Amino acid sequence: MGEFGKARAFWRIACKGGGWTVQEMTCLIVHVDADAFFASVEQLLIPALRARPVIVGSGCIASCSYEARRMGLHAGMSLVRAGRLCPQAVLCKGDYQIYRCFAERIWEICRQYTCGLETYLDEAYGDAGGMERVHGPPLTLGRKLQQQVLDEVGLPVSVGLAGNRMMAKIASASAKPGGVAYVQPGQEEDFLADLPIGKLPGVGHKTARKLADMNIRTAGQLRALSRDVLGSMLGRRGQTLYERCRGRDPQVLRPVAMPSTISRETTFHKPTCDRNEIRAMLFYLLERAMRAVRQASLTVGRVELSIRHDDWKQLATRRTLPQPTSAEYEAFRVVEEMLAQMFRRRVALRHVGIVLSGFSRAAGGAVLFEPRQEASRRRLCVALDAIRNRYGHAAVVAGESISLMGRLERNDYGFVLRTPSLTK
Amino acid sequence: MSVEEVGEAISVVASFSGGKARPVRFRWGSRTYRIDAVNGQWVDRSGDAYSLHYSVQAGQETFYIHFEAGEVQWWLDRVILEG
Repeated sequence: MGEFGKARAFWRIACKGGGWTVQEMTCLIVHVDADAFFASVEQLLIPALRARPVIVGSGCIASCSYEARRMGLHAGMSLVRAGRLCPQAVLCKGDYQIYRCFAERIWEICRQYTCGLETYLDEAYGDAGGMERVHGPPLTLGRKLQQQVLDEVGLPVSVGLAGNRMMAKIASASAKPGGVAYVQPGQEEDFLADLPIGKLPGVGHKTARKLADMNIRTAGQLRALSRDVLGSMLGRRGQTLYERCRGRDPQVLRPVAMPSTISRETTFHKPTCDRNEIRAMLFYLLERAMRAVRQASLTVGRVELSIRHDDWKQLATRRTLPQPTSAEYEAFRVVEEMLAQMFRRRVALRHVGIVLSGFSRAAGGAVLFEPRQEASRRRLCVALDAIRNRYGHAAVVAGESISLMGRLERNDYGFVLRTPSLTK
Repeated sequence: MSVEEVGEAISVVASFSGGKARPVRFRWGSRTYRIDAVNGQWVDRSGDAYSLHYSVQAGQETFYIHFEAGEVQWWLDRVILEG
């Protein structure tokens, strides 16, 4: 990686005289973000919802249309509060399998404009370096991509282009809804000058408040603090913020084959103290997450458990697994231990989540010196995957998930959860 | 707005052109519905075979239908009525 966190690629071209010249090219990262994704899909598929405030969610808003946002609604708001602010809003339960299919189609189009794509449910980063030779200058490339998604899929997206991942995302956010923005190399500091400090990646509510107490409210103002001062205030995060407020971001693109995390989480239909139900739900979430791990031919090194009580107090803890694994049965033992440590109050749980991280490539077959019991569990998981790939996840209910039968409805894709998780 | 989950097999007349399939009309029970517009479509590749899904408009009603390639069968998934 070159200075300022920019990758550089070198091209050779033959000049007219027959000799060779080396031409330096800067990186071009594209960030594509579907506008109000779930709500936009609902409005596309149901004409009666167009130009109306639409909410998708259960318990709280997962996504809402721009008509709803103009009434003060936003993602994360409780439906009760949303109903008071906007009684005319139409509530859709949501169909996450449909949203995934639309997302896949959008990413297929994006791959025509980028080499390597890092995808999430409603956004993606791609490396468009060199693609200007095919699609034109960055803004033209961005507009062509946006128009093609609208023509072929029917959904609006915002596009940001810049020399690094962070700037591309900030650019697309600045262009929402339905816009395209390009930050030219060298213009990052000007672009960030008036950016509210809370919108800088790495600045959460607490840090924003701490900085506001020092009268620092924009990224431009943050540049007044030296690296040493930021480091002493915020530790390693301060060092990162020193770079970020100057538009520098050392993060590289991670094509989807190696995600940083795979997570599954959900809210219970009713808050519960029933340990059997909680364990069953955690096993089911872990099962779904591990299936994604196996599909990507990875093994997991760390698991994080988060729980939220009915009084909204949230706890989370993370553990390294005894050895990397792709079988939920092995990871579940650790999850049970973490649950026993964290769930001690007599306040029901309303939400649980599992986050897997620390991935490495799977060995691709039998593991030398693998204990027999673990080998047979791994083969069991692979066999279950084969059945589910053919007949749907609900074809087999295994392990602790059996305790969810009779409590939750099922469809071909599995148990119908109240707030199905998003994989990031 | 009311949503009715159906899950019934239906007969569909569709046109196939340029690598795309477009439903034109379908028969559900004793009634034939002429499709005025295709609101949106998506392909589901989970499972062994793929399925082609459509949201179609027939008058004031919106229908979600899909073609299951493995079974070679059209299905009516849900009906959405305004009001």
